[in-house]
Amino acid sequence: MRTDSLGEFEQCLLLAVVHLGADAYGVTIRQAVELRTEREIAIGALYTSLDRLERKGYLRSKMSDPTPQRGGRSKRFFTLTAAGATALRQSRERLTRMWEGLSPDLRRSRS
Amino acid sequence: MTLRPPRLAQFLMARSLSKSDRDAILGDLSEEFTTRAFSSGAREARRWYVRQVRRSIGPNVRRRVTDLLFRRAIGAPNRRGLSSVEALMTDLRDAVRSLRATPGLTIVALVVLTLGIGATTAIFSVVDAVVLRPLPFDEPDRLVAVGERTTPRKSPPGGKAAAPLPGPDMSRDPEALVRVQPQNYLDWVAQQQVFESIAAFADNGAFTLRVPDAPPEDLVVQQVTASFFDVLRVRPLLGRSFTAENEVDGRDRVAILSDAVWRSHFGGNRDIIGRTIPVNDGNYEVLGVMPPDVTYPVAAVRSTDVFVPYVVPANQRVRGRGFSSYLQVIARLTPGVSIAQAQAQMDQVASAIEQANPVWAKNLKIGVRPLRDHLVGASTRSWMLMLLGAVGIVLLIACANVANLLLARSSGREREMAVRAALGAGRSRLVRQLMVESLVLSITGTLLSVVLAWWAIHVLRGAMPEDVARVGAIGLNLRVLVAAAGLALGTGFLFGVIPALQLSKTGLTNSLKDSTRAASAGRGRQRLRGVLVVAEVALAVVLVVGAALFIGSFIALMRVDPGFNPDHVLTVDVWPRAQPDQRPPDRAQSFNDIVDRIGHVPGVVHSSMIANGMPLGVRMRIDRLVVPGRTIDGDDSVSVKVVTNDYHRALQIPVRSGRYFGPSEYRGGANAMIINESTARTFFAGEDAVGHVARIDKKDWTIVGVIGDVHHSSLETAPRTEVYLPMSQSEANSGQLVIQTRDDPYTVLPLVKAAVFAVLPDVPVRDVKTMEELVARRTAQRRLSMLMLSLLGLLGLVISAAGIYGVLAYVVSQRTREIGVRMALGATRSRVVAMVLLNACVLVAVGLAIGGVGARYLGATARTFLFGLQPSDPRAFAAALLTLSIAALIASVIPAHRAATVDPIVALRAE
Repeated sequence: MRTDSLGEFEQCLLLAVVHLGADAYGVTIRQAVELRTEREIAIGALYTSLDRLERKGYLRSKMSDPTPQRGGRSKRFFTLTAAGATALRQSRERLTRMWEGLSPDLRRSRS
Repeated sequence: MTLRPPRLAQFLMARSLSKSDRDAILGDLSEEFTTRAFSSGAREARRWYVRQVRRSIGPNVRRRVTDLLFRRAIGAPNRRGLSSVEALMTDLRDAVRSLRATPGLTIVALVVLTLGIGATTAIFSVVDAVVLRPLPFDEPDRLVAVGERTTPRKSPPGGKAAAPLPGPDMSRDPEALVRVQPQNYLDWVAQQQVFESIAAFADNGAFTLRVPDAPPEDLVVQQVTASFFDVLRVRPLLGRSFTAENEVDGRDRVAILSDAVWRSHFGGNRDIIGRTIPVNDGNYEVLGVMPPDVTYPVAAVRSTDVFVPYVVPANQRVRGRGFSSYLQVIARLTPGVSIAQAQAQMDQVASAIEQANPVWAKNLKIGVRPLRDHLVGASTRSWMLMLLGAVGIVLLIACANVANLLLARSSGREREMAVRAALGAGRSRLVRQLMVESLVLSITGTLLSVVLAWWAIHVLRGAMPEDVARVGAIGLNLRVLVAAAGLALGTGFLFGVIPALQLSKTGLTNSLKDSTRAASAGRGRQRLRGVLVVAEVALAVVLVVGAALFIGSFIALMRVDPGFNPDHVLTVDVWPRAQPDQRPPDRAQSFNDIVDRIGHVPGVVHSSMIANGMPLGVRMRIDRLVVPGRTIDGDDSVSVKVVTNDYHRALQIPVRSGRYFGPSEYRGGANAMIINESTARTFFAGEDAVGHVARIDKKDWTIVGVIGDVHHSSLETAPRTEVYLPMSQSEANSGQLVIQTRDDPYTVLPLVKAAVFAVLPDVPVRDVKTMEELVARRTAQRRLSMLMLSLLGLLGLVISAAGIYGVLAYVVSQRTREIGVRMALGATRSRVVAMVLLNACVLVAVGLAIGGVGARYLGATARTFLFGLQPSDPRAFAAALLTLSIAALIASVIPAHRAATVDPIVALRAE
């Protein structure tokens, strides 16, 4: 199945969800991406992308029961769908193919 | 230190999120906030929180909009919806981007839209609330006012009349009803069959609340017949209303409170029903409390506080010697009866009454009129409709201008469109793009205009003259806003989309082939834009001529010499209340005492008092003046003023011959009288009146002086014949203190109050104002008209100037290459400038001509509002045409300058 290509940020989010497994919700996803990409992410932008990914069918979300330490608010947990996994794999393959055969200098010169 | 996220930031975040998102996202934020507060301190955490919110609001709002269009439910993926929503978002982004690319044009369009829609909404909201909206009662179409009609009488029957005189408006309102004599009202009730119910009420009663340990307080009271509540079909919310049984002496001490007074004075206590409240002349039992939305007069600035029964005084049940007209009568038509039928029957009733009482009811006319028209008044109505017309013109100019701007814009984009189409954009895609652009423009303009309208309504409500009805009901009218915005939107659509359709019709190749700058707009479209400019100019001429006429009227009014000097004059009402059924006692002696005491107050130059109405008031007493041995052909009635000796000095009314009143006027002395110039002209044409004897009030008076005329009822009406009698030699039961002071008039007020209190301790001091304030109040409507029309005229001027500028600037930019060629071939700069200006001149001249003719015709409708000049006043027209020409010239200068500075080399190389 061919899928739409994913943006870099979208890939980061999907990968973060995979990393986090059962514990993937707003706070942890944001921290995971922030930690690895070293840039601050606004929560509004995060959810905009998560929603889009959900609409595309790459993610699925579920509201948890309210937890007291969050002021009695629920968490929204995200899990990767099969379509999401396919899309990730395809994105990676495309990129890898593009990188193939390039000299190592370019890889290193990126600071 | 608390561990709460910043409240404002949290609030903003919550508001910007849709409900379904709120829980998860706010939860995430507060969870992380807590973690951060522990690891890096509360201050750092708070800073982080605020930063997060600041950067999230944009995406949040965008997402909400998408959600709204898409109706997303969590966990319900939808591929088709996705594409259309995202396409729309793309369109929106493109539209904003392309509007931003031409900032000047966009800003002009937005300003024009905002002013046009905002001004229209504001004015229409006011007009709707005051004039158009039905009365807030059940079946309001059946409510009528019944009154007596004014007929010119040589002299009132029975000698003396205390009839309230027509206010300044009535002279312009042929339909106006005057108040009714109780005797007549009783006959009407007995004889009519066209009204389901009919009621009378009087507003001249007193109701001074005397709560122990609190200063006495006047409440606004209406004495109403029990049927009042049937006519309006209103019932107290608490308790009950009174019945006809209460309309007899002894049983009439019952009251119904308004909701506002019940809450403000009695704490909103429900047990008020059945309690008695202490009032000046005894105790009243509270029977009921009216619902909060029921006020009468409707939405007045100061509405009725308390309703008490009206009892016809015994001496007013029969037709005796004197009469007074003070009742207002309202009625509800029987179903199926038209106003004309009601009028016909009341005409019969009138002639029956006249037959039975030939002297008393001579020329009695009864008028029936829709209650709403009666409350609002014809002059206010047409005044407001005229304002509405003016603002409508502004809206039209605005629409023409926006159309013009959009046309200019699309002509400049012909190539862009052609390229897009060549690259595969379908026709519908192009049309949609243009539609979205005009939509974005219109919606932004509408939002801005809501702010403008809201503010303008606020200002207008404060500026309304106080006699305008229903001012309290004025508020932002959403229907109007929607209508005005719809008109702007329609204009935007029409003129935004036409070019796109035209483009696809003519074919792309032409546009692309003609890719040089020489390609200018099609001839048809240019002509359309010329027509729009002409229309704008013509409409602006109408507005500016109107503004000039009103400014001229106001100047003429300001030039009127009132006949007295309002500088440094304080006036105070001294109005001892009397029972309506008793003859008010004579207070002349007490008044003289008060005036004497005030004369000794430091800072007072002249202390005086006048009974029977001071200048620019509505009260007046008319009587017949008889000069023995002379018969007068015309009107022998005079307005009688009773004044203390220094009155004319306090107002600096000039003496023409003879003298002012002085110490020789005292009780028991020789009767003296002062007359004004009009009286002298009427009764003693060509000779000196001083020394003659005239008869009034069954007494003979020697004329001791002739003084200048004073504008008594209003500045606009000519002075009438007046005579002044000394207060020491006649009677007075109420009046106004008129005090000339050396400094600020209000500084003497405490001692004035003390003087009144010392002589008449139970009379509250009312209606304190300076003469200058009174003059300002009486010119308020004219001032407001002038300001409004000037403002609207200015708006029209600016908008149409912007239109002229836009067209010329565009023409110049389109013809840059042509100008370059001309200059390369030897055209001088002045010739280029002349070419551009000629272009402007043709458009403006046609507009001025059409507008001038239109203004000439429309001016006639404003005739009744003008003062001191004709609707065709050449000065007003000249001023307006000149102003517009100058504005047009200024608007043309920049494009002309731009054309003149075209560098031929650059222009030609640009190919």
